[in-house]
Amino acid sequence: MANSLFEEKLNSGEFLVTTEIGPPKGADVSEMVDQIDLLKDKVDAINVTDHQSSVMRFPSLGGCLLIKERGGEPVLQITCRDRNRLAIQAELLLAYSRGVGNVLCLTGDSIDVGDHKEAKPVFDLDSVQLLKMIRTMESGTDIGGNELKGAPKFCIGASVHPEADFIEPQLIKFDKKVAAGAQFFQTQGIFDLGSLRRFMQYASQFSVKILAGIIVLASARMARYMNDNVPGIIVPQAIIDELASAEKGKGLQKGIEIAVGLIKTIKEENLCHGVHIMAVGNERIVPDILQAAELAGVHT
Amino acid sequence: MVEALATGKLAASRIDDYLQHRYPLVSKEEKEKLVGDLLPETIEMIKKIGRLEPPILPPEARAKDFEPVELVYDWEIAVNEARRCLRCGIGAEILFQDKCATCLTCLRVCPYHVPYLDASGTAQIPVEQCQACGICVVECPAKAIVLRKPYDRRHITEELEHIIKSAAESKSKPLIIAFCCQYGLFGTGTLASMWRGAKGGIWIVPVLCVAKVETGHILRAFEMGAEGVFIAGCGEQCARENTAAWVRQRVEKVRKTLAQIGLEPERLEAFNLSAADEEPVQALDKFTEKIGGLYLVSVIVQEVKS
Amino acid sequence: MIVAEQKPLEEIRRMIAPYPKVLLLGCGTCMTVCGAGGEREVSFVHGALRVAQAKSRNGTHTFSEYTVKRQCDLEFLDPLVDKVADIDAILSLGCGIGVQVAAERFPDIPVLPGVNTSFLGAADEWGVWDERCAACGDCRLEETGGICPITRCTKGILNGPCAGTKNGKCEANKDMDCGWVLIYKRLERLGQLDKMRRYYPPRNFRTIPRPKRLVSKANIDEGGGDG
Repeated sequence: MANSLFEEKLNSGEFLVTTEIGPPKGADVSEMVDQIDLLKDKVDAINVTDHQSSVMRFPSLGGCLLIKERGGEPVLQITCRDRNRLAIQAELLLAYSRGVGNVLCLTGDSIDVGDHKEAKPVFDLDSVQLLKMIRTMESGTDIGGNELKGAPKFCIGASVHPEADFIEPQLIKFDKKVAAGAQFFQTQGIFDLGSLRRFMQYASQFSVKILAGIIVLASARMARYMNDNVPGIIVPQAIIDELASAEKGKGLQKGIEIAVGLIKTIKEENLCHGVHIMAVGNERIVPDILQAAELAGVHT
Repeated sequence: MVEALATGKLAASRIDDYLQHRYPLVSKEEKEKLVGDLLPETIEMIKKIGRLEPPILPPEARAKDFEPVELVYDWEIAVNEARRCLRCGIGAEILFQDKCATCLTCLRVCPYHVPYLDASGTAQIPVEQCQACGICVVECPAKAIVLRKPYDRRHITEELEHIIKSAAESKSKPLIIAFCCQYGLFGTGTLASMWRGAKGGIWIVPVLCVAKVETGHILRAFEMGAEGVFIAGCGEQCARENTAAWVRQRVEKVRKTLAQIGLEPERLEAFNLSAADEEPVQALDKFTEKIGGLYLVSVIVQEVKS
Repeated sequence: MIVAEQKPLEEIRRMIAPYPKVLLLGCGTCMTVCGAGGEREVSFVHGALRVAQAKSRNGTHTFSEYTVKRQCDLEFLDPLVDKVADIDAILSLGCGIGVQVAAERFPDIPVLPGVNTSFLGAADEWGVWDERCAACGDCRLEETGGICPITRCTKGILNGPCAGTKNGKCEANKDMDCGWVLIYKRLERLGQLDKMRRYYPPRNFRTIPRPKRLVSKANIDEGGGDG
């Protein structure tokens, strides 16, 4: 029996579509609620990011509870940067008790790239240990060895970086995450389908589901900024040039075109099991992408 | 050549003893070998400066009278010849091994690869290899190294104190203290023009290589009222390696501290005297003017306050 | 080596402001090696403080200097007993250990820290110090080919690398090598990549709670063993 709706979808063999929203920097969640309502019926699950790029925001679990309230399927993102093993286990108990059944396990960006540079980095665990910890809790004990009164159950996933410039250590990490119990992977932004193909040749030996991360860029400047400042993102020069060639004001359009192109190829060639669309502030255009990539209306 | 002079001197003093009916008991001790074989990596770093032959009278002139054939050097050649002196006998030594923390600074900063760690892990500076540049003496964090004939170092401190006293009595303002390499000053004839062109009270502390100027000397100059301080070395003409780079390191360190005290870092400057043309003098004049400006500002501020 | 950095002069001046007679105390071991607080630096700070005092024209401090071989053992501070009779404060250029031992030894005199003790590290070249050891109490260098994942990975993770490594450098500091890329390459060279493939469970942070104590002497019952 699947632990969540999303897990059912994972097992169904359909082409999967997920997306993510970034919570607000403040207590005013009205825009996030609008985004949830816009997307909840169009995708298989919505991730809520956890202080992405180490910028303090409304918590992921809060966003997930809102998604649940409004009838969508949330993916809770947990990073190891800000909380120790006690706090994370507690959060997992709360999430499970409120019906949030999917967790994406991340190590987390370092404090230095964020907006609270003097904060104490925790990193009591890393992503592999977090995956293992959830499986341990599922068996009825916490990782202090104590019995749990009510064990949670989750569908768990992790991230992977097929476009890393030095791939071998990343593959070792990927193996460890699979062995620790990860069922699905949402990759870092893909721009070069060649590296995705090569990675899939390696990954297909496992029964895990891979969703290719698709970043929607809005301009050449944004692409360059992400290249220099956002960990895990490598935008090739060809894409930057293509964005630069767009008319003034049409940058986002170009970005959508590029994203749709990648998604279509991935779907047509069955390169992997689905896509994870990251609109980075432009969540309102995600339905347009789904429409153009012929993925709309299949995912309620 | 050096040994010949040394034995000559010894012979002279023995002859003198004999003639004066003094018969001191002299033991045949082994004199410490002060100049020995150099390592290849040391030899590689030593500047090869050829000897300049003195000008000689042409044969026709020689035939006329009994004037010496060799003519005298001019200033520049004389100074450049003096620069070639190995200064053997004043090499560095670790005088205070108990203070030495074996931090390896001397090993790492010596341009000639002279200091080494012996089998017991103790730092050693072999006297017969040392080129006496003085860099390690100033850089040693434990002040454990001295130059054997420390004329230069004592010389700088004494000269500085003497000048500070004289400067206090003089009324020339602003007071600028300059640590200048003697080779550069005399060799390039810059000294005279500096004195002539000086718009303020420039007081010169002559040093035998600016590598011996310590941050403590610079701070002392400022403490005793200098409005500006500069260090002028020979640049590429310097007979020792890397000296200009170390002067820059020390200047940067003091500048950072000046800024923290609320003094303008530009009050401290490093110059290169080797270009034997107008440039160094111009740079010095500009510096003097700038310090003069800062001095006038401080005078006005003081007057406004009171 | 314990590596420290001298505090900015403004901070030192602010700390010594209430104390007219200050002894500048240097340390002849780690602080000499890292160039933060040996005899030469004591003279430098002394000189700088005098320049500051001359400039401000209303300074009332008098300074004295003394450097001991180490400040981390009480016996080394014995020679100071006469010197501190007349002192209002000690500015110690020793590491944090030295400052505290001096404060224990002279509890009636304020002992002020002149350096910021920063890390345990080594210098490959003059003037450049890199952190190497976190003193975590649970050394795992055997697993990582002699490269510490706690100091050389900015996140200190045990199952690395993360996705933020680019060109072999760390996402947080582009001048720093990614510790896990270094570990991979070293293990590959040693033919021990299987060590990187192992799962490493969460760290035992119990070695950290402060203050740590290490007792190397045996607990011998004074009253006699058998009876």
